[in-house]
Amino acid sequence: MTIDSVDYSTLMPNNVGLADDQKLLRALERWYPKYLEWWVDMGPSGFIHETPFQEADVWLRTAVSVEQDGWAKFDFVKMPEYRWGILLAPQEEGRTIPFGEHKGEPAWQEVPGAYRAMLRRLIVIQGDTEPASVEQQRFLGRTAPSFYDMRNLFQVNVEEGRHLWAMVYLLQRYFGKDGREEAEELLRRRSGDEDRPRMLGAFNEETPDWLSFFLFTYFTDRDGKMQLEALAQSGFDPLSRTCRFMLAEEAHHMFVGATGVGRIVKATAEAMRDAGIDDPYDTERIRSLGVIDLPLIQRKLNLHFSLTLDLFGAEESTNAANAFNSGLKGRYHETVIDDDHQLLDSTYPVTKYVDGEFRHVDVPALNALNARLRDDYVDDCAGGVKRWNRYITETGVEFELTLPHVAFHRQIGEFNGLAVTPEGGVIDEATWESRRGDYLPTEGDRVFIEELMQQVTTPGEFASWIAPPQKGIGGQPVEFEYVQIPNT
Amino acid sequence: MTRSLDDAILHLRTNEREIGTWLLKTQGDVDVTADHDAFLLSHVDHWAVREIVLYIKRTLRRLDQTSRTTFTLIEPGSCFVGWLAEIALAADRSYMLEGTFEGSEHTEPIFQLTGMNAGPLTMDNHLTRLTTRFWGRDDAVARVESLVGEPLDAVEASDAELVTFAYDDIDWDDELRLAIEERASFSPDALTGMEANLRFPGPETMETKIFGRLTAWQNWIFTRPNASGSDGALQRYGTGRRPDFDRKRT
Ligand SMILES: [Fe+2]
Ligand SMILES: [Fe+2]
Repeated sequence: MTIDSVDYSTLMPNNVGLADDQKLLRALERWYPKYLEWWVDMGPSGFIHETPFQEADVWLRTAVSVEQDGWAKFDFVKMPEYRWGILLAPQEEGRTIPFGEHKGEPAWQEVPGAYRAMLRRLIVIQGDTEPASVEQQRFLGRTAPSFYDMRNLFQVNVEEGRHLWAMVYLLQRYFGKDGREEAEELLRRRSGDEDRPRMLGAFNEETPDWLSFFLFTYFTDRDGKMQLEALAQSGFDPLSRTCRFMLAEEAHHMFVGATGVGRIVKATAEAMRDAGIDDPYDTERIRSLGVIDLPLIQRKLNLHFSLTLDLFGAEESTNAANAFNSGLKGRYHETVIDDDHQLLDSTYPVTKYVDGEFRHVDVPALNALNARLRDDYVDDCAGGVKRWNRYITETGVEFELTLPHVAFHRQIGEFNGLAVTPEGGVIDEATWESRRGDYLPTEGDRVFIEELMQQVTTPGEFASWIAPPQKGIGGQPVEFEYVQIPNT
Repeated sequence: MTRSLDDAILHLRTNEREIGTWLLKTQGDVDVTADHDAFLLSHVDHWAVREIVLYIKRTLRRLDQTSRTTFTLIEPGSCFVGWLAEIALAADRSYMLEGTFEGSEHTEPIFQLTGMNAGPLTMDNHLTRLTTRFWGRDDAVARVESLVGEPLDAVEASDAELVTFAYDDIDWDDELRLAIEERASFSPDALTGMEANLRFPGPETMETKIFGRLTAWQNWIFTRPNASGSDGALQRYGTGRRPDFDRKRT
């Protein structure tokens, strides 16, 4: 077996030579049943007719290689039998630490003791988000608008499960006893739980419906992508390689989000056109068509975007500075940035609210890394929104979806406590509260969506509020029965 | 043997000033060590024995007062029994192996208390190391003193809170490497100060005030460049850059 080929002889398919590392194999095999128990308890929950999701055959892709092309293979799989593998991108010969104090030194193959605690924390925080999103999304199958979408949901879920495996592998392989304890804790915390919540705010919020799911995969999985991109630069080579492979899967999650929101927007705009409704605020008439009004989509977008921005942490952060200087967490596209990659003397303009206006203020670049990653993120979000708006303009409806101002509805960092409109106007708290229903989803919105979304279980059929996709997935047509009940 | 330990401490103090972490190990027969303690204890009235015990006491106090970090490694073939077990009790951390190493000729290590741990070898605070370790928990002191004479394996010793960590051979090398590297990355001054605090909890005596507080904090922390110098921890705090430390100690 060559180092980069995937070994299927162990319980966990892997390209890390597990079969030759009996100690680690034993540790992971001890963890496996606990993971499965978690998956059955907290993974997708609901039925298609009488059959529980967990017993259905789902057209899923499983990672089978770490090569650029052909890394995944599609087949019908029952979710609890999914082969959650441990897959790292191939090791780069002679890789050096790309940034920080140790720039140019050989990348670490073992954990440097000086950074053990910091590194473990980075991995645990990343790892915690993976099962959290599965927990948040567990009831969505009950209202899936089609088999195609249900499959996409389950695909995202099993892959988030695999991402948890990836982080647990790092903890168990490289962090000894503490690592094993952290791996157990990852299965003990629960999204939204009062006593044992997940570590980050947005991962304790509900994902109550499919519009939220698509916005979550578009916005929040994209935060995941940015974090993975930053960790993929890490001087700790096993982390870098793990994250590089996870990014391949993450791309699909964002595809699901981007196309999902797009298809909802398309269904609405086309229904309005066909019914001759010009006014996007003619809510009742639009909703009676069985579609979601565009202003409601905007409100939901405002919510998910602002919650996700909070995940980047405080704009100026000593932790981020330490992680960069130590060579543990880099910047987005670190290796192609044209600078000294050490940032000891440079500055970065951070948006702040000073003397009644939003202004760029230069701060030491090392301290502004969270702000920088967030700025890169906001740029990265723009593309999808543009495509969504194209669906609207194509129908002649006049409405534009926009990203709210970065200071809107923030709980963490510079803008915490500031009452800011989606357009970026700073107003007093009371006025903001009185307009809350214009900015963010309301109870009425929730009730409407809850009634609107019902499970569709006819192959090739789609709920009224979402347009069919342009094409199917995994070599199958749109009308394919992506989720099947055994023996029917 | 006491003289060798004393010499080693003095040698490291004067000649190896940048070594910030000492690893303390023993090697020998557990029963012989226990017999040796028993012999000393049964002849305490003899002038030579009294001198030996006092010498052991002074030497162990040097360990309590050192400005270096001390880790004790309790490995197969070691003899942390009685007065040698005091070395483990004096250390900032002790690591004990669960079981033995693959291919080792020795069986699993033993940790054993004797009467020497329950009286004669007091620290600068005039208390035994056991009383200091369980300061404010008289029941715990009584509990461990009832273990005198019992050979304890790693799990038992760690349950009795006599050692800091018990690791099996799977974790041993890596945990030690990480712990030592981690120590080496910290401010040596801050470690000296905090370790002195932890070595002498509870009541103060003139000696603890001088050696535990004054020496540690006055000499190693206040007005030291490692803290307040231009490349020191206070100046660099919050910048993301690590301080440059002068690692020399005495
Ligand atoms: Fe993920
Ligand atoms: Fe994801």
